[in-house]
Amino acid sequence: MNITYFLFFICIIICTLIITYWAAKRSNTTNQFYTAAGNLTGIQNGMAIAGDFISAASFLGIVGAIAINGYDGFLYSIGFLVSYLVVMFLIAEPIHHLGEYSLGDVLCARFPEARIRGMMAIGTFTISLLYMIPQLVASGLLLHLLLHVDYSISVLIVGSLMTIYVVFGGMIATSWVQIVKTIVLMSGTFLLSLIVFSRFNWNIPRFIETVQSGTPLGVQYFDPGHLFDSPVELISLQLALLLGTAGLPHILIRFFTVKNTLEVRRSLLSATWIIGVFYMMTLVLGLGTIAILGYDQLMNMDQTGNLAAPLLAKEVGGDFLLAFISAIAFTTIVAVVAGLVISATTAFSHDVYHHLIKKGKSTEKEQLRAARWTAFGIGLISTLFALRLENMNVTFLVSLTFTVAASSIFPVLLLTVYWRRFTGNGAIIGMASGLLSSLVLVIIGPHMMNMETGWIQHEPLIGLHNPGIIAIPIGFIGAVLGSLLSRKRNESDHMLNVFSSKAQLGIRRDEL
Amino acid sequence: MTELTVVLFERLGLLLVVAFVMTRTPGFRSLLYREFNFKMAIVHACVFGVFGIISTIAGVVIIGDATVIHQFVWMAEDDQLVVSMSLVAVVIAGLLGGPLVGVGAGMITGTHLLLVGGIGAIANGLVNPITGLLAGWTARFFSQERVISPFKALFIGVFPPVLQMQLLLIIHPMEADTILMVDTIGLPLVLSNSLAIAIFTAMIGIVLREEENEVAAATERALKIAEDALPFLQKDMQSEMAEGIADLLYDRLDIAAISVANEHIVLSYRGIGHDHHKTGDPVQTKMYQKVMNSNQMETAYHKHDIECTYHKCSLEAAIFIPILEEHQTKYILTFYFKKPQHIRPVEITLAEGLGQLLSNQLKVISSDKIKTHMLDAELRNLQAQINPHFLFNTLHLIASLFREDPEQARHITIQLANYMRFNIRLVSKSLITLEKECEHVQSYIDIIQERFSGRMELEFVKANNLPNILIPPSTIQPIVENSIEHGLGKVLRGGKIEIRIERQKEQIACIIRDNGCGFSDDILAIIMDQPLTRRKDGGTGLYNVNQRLISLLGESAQLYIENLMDGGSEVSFYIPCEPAKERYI
Repeated sequence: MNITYFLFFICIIICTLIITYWAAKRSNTTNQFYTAAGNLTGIQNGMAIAGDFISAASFLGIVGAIAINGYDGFLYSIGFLVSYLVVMFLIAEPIHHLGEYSLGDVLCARFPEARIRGMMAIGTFTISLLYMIPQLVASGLLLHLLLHVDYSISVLIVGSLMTIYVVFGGMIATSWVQIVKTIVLMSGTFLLSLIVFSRFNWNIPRFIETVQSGTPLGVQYFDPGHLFDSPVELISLQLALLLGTAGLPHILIRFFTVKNTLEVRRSLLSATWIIGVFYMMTLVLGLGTIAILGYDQLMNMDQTGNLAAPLLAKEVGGDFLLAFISAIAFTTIVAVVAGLVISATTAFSHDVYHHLIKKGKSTEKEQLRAARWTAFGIGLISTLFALRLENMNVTFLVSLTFTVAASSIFPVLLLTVYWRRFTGNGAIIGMASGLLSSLVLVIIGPHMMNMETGWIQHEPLIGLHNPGIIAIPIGFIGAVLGSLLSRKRNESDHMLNVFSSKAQLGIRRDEL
Repeated sequence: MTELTVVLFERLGLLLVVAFVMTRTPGFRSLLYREFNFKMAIVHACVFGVFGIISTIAGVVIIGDATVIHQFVWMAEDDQLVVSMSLVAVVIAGLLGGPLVGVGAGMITGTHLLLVGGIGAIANGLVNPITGLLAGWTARFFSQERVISPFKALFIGVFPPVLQMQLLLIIHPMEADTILMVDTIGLPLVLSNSLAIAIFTAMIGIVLREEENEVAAATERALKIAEDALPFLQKDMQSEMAEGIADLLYDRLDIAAISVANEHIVLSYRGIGHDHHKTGDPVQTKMYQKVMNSNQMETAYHKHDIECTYHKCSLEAAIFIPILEEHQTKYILTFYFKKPQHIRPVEITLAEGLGQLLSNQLKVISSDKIKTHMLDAELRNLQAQINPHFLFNTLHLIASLFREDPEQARHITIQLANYMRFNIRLVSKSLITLEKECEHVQSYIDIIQERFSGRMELEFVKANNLPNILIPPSTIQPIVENSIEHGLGKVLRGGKIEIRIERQKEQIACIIRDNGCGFSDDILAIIMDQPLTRRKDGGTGLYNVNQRLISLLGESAQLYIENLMDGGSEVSFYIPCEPAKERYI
């Protein structure tokens, strides 16, 4: 292994551990552990949200997708970015007003029932775990490719780091690792983009021409249709991306880490800007890879395109720049998985242990101990899963995550906040139908069922890679039908009014 | 690459020596403590800019194929790349002083690098101000501490060289060997810069920590001084108190001069400038008024704030410390300094602590005084209660004298009137002249002598040359009464009481002697320490007298009680005959 790579990695690891040590000294209450005591400023939280959201899949995958498929690769970026509008206008503020630590709190503000909290915890837990495993597997493969470290050692490193952050530092450490990641990632990609431009003497038309000559697609590179041949597939994917973010627990719990509505809006504005600018830069890097390296050279080195950005860095800046970009990719991975661990931890230790098992009567100390052990357990389980799944193709889990989030958590949250006739039964049925339908659709879809590489060697029952377009309506319909069919509706108008003023304005019951 | 790393580390050592020496100078230290303003930002920027230039000169030059030239860098040829450590200075400037200082230092260093020239001159020139700005923002964003921890600095220090390499790549993209150069110098620069930044931060941290320790020591010193100042504060004369305090503080503190003033005039002055700062000068400067009105400490950093009329006065800065009594500024201590930068946080802390401690001492003293006042008033009230038996007996005496000796009856009546008038006035005064007291004793003796004319003989001997000292009223009479009631209570004939007031060198002695039964041993053992509760033991008379003497005139005025060899007892007390002074206003 090259000494430069090694030093950069060590530097990142040490820095994040220092952050964790510093955070551990102030994670002494559940409030601090779960939400950093609501002490982040809007901009810090915005950076943390961006850090939570931009996964290695975005950074490396999208650059590669753009490099290989041109316009269609960029559609992912657009979906990811636009999803923040849904979060901002529909979901963020009510969640901040209603919840304390977890999404279970949000639903229980309207339906204070154990089964609903339990269902929400299961949803959160499933999504976090589903998302964490592909991230870990990807990190193992990536470190293997970049550093030539053994796959299992890489997974162990990333898995233990994320566990350490969360066990000792809770939300504070997680947030600051994410903030550091955002800063490093943004500045690194920004400078890399500038280097790409300067290669062409800042002459953008020449840059575009070179891109066209570098790809076998030629002029058609900028036309749609290279990645998604069927419009249904495309709409289905975009729908899942668009609505999925608004159902991702690890993003949504970040709205508890700021003080007030203003800071919530600030977090979203800054997160959206950061993410938007970032995806613009992935475009530059993707095009730059084609322009500087050329399609053939990229394909020679890496079929998937995931190494496009590192290869570009090596070409324009040598080993030194490659080491830096690899370190950034590494930070990106650990920041995202740490965010996932804490959201799963909150779901289990706060919702299941504190509220369901101990009936809300456990002491602060017990809760903290439970939270730390939960974090440890989750880290261990997901690392073990990732170790076993080395040779499996797990990328479909990412799209599954978004589909599950969009079809189970998002409908329930939306209806809870906005629909007056919504009932507890509706919530349960909606969540269950969304979750089950997306799981079933993925299992019978071409990811799992295909003749060559699938887990089930069979012709796929449906042809959609992204089942969002079916699963999301099923989630909504389940929730609506469940509400309409369940007769009892034991909320008075007054209670509803109190609820909606709390949800929309943050006015507590005692202030009315 | 290894060679370059080693060379850079050598140069790093050199720079850190310079940095170390720099942090030990008082000038640099005072830079650290100053609060932020635009002028100081420029000074800081210049200092760090110069340090950055030194770092550049101490750097090395490499030629395209990675040959290293070891000489100091004055000028670079077109095919040479300057490898400078200037980013260390710029980052420290930014971390310590914020974006403004960072950019300032970066611009100075960057301009110098541009002038030195060579490959990458533009990138080198640009990276410095950008780094300064980013370091400044980083300091604001990441920490509330004055100086960030060395570990954080180590991490932050990784990025400036990375930025520099990337700028090199951006600005000189087409040159074939740029990538080669970046690969060669990148890692050595990252290693040396981040380490240097961490060490430098640690050094500054040490300086600041030393400062904290000094502050702690200063607090301790203030406590000690306040303790030692207690005797002076207890002095009644303001001038004496001021002299004492001024001597003490001038002796203990490292200050150019000190003055102690009350709300009108300077009471005492010590130190430089005593030729024109005089005791008795009125205090009317704005600073004094400000302190007087706000009861808050004030610091003058400019000569004109001191408002010294003597234009060659070498005092340029001062701290004005109010000493409060009952939330009002009673005295103002002023510490003078020759230069404004001599006032460091230590001095401020010390002054603040001293002010508070001395104010507290004053409070304690005055509450002690109030307590004594109350005790005295209470005792005087007791004393003023005339024993009704005495009054009736005297009236009977007068009634019987009317027939036998009308002249004597008239005399005794007047004496009784005097005696009673005195007792009524007793409540209102805590000290009276010895003369008045003697008159009182005389009245009493006249009445008693007439009553017990056959039983005892009373003799009152008063020297002529007595100075007019002050004593607590009705001190002698209760002692005489005690002798009559208890000493001679059972004597039917030949009793004798002698009261002598005479001058013994520097003191007045009051001696009351009788030839009665004396004090029994058990009473003698406790009479000075506690009031006797049983009436037949003599009640509270002697105890009260003793208490009042001690509380009003001090321990030296206490009663001495002894039994005489040939029967009877002697009670005496001594009062120093220094000029009469009113202890309380």
